[in-house]
Amino acid sequence: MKEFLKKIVLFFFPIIFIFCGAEYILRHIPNDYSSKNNYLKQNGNEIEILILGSSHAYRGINPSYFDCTTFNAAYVSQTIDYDYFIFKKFEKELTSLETIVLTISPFTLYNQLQDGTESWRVKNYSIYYQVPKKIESHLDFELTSMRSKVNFKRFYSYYLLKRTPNLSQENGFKTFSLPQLSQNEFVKSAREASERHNYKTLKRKKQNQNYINNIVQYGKKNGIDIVFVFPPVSEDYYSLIQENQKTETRSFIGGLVKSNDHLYSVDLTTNEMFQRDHFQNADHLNKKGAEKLSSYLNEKICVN
Amino acid sequence: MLFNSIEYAFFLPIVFCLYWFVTNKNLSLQNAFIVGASYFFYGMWDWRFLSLIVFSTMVDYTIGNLLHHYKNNNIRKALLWVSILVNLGFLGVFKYYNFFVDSFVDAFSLFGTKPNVSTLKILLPVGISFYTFQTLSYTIDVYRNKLTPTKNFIAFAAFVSFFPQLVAGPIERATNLLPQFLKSRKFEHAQAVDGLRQILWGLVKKVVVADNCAHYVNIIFNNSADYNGSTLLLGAILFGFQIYCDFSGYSDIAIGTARLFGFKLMQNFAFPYFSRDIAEFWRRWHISLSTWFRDYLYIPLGGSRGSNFLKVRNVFIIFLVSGFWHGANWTFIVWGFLNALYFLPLLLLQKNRTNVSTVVAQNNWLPTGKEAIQMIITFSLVSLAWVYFRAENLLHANDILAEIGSASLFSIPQVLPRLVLVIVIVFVLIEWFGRRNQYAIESIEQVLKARPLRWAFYFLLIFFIQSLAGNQQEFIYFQF
Repeated sequence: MKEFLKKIVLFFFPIIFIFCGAEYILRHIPNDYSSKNNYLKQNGNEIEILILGSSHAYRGINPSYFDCTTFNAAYVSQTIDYDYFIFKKFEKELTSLETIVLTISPFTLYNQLQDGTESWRVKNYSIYYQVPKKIESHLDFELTSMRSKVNFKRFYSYYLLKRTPNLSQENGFKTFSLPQLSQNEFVKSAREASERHNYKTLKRKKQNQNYINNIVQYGKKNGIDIVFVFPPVSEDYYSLIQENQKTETRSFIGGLVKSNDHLYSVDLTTNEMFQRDHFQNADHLNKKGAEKLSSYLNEKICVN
Repeated sequence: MLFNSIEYAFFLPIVFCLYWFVTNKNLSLQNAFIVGASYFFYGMWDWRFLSLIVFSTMVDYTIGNLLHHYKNNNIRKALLWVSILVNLGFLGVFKYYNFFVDSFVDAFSLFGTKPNVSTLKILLPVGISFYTFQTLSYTIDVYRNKLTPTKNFIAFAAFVSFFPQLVAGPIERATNLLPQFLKSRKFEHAQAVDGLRQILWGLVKKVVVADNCAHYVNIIFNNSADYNGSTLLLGAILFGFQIYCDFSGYSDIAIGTARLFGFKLMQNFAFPYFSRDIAEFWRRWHISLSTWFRDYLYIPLGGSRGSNFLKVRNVFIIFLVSGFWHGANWTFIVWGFLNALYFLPLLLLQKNRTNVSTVVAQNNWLPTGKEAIQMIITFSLVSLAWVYFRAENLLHANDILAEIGSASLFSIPQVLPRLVLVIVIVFVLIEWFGRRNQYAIESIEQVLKARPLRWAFYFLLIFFIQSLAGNQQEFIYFQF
């Protein structure tokens, strides 16, 4: 037995050493999650408007156009459960908070990050935001949650080529740096996005409603306004979203706004203000669109 | 808890150390520890379903002893039926209730009426088909006086719940596994090393081959209407490798883990894709289930004795039941039916036992031309049947097979996963050279005699597991 254990230790020691070393190195590559977490930790007490939501908010609302101190804590594929966790984590730091901008996308009531094809992103919240993990442990590690090829590319680019990753702005916003799509590609993006965003199950609906209710209650208790923003999306995309999904979402948010004085709703879903040249793809604004939306929200929230 | 999870990487060494260093002085304590560890392992999925295992254990333990106590045949038969009804009752409710209700409603709707029978929202307890069959084998063997029932409840509970094979087999016979719980185990270095090696190979099969194949199989099968015949055929072939590596990988990890604890489980797969006919395939595929059906269903029905009609009937019964065992869906039943059809000519021509005792090219490096053709035909038949196994429903499977049978079979595949094809080819080569063993790399010590070389090989496999890992998928057979 001793011989066996000796061999086991000898065999696994280099593996564990390499694993831990690689994990340490990968975690020290700057990324949006760690920088957002650090910003909120260090500057949370200055933030007056906090933006939460998915890429619709991340790519669409630029805090630079706000007259109040604003931070965009939204991110790609971030679902309402993680909006809530982030908000809860920093509630003590957010001492100047006056308004929460919560984007309500067609999938907000139905999806959670852990269920979809983007579930690997869960690791970013558990590693960098220390959000309690909800699914398998392999998503607690960079090494086991990503393909080695991707990790190697990140390592090579940052440590060997000394390239800094293309991160969000300090205020949390990031626009696209991609060329405009052709009409065909635009329509295709509408189809693909709507397939992802049309709900397949209602199992998360109640939980997601509770997350929104919790944020609403917190706002009520602490005198914080909550602005629900239905972000602009193209008709190509919106027409492919299931009707009951649209109606249910509107009716749930409408019901909340009706019965609470500190809640507001801004519905820009297919607003004519936003034309084809404001969109990067069927459901995301480009730089120009983000500028327009942000200025509009600034008018509504900070100026008036 | 999955075998290929971080949790298991912590669970296994902790249980191993406590097993050999803390509880090793007392056999009952060691068995009780196995029961506790196994319940914990299973409870990580859903604690509620542990009650089913505990209940099943108590029922079969009690019935086993009562069977021994009573000599009256009628009482013994009644006791056996109680065990069968309890075990199959669980299986029926949890696995087949909704299927029967849906089929009943569908059948009536053909006549224009729709009975109002509601289905239940039932979760399928992981591994229920496996441990149910394992405990059933105990009572049936006791009933047949092949086995003396144990008075040791803890040992019996350990036999039923032994975590390496609890959720996806191998489905052990009480005659093989139970006695191993009744005598003290001694740590054997060679056996433990071999166990670790088999675990490693199982992980390679699951993580590198099966999960990578799964990615493309899902794409092809989920969008089958968009693909031509050659792509769909590729999907069917990749699924063949996915299901083999997924399930036999699980079995390897299970058998290897058991060896670490001093237990010897039965071989569950013996290189089935190197079979020369369908009968040989079924002797090499999911051996623990095939032999279970052979011993407890086929032979009691008369087996291959009697008239041709009886032989054919028995073959169809066993394959249809086997299909149904896999799941409450018509696709599995058709899959079983197809395999019965494949098997039938061999049975009627009395060629079903042609390739019993040897592996293909037993004493040669390469197969003969005839053997190669036989293997290709067998593999093709099996792959086409897998389409039913993987498809969502019969219509889906029929559409795929129709497209495979069309002229588009000769067009260039629309999906060409080069890396996965390389992985599959390398894997097949390793399996080919290791086909005389229990698992492909069992005799690596004879090939790589120097330890540094062997370790380098193991490190390489671990590197592949880490670097070529596909998206983590659940083991397919958990759903059965």
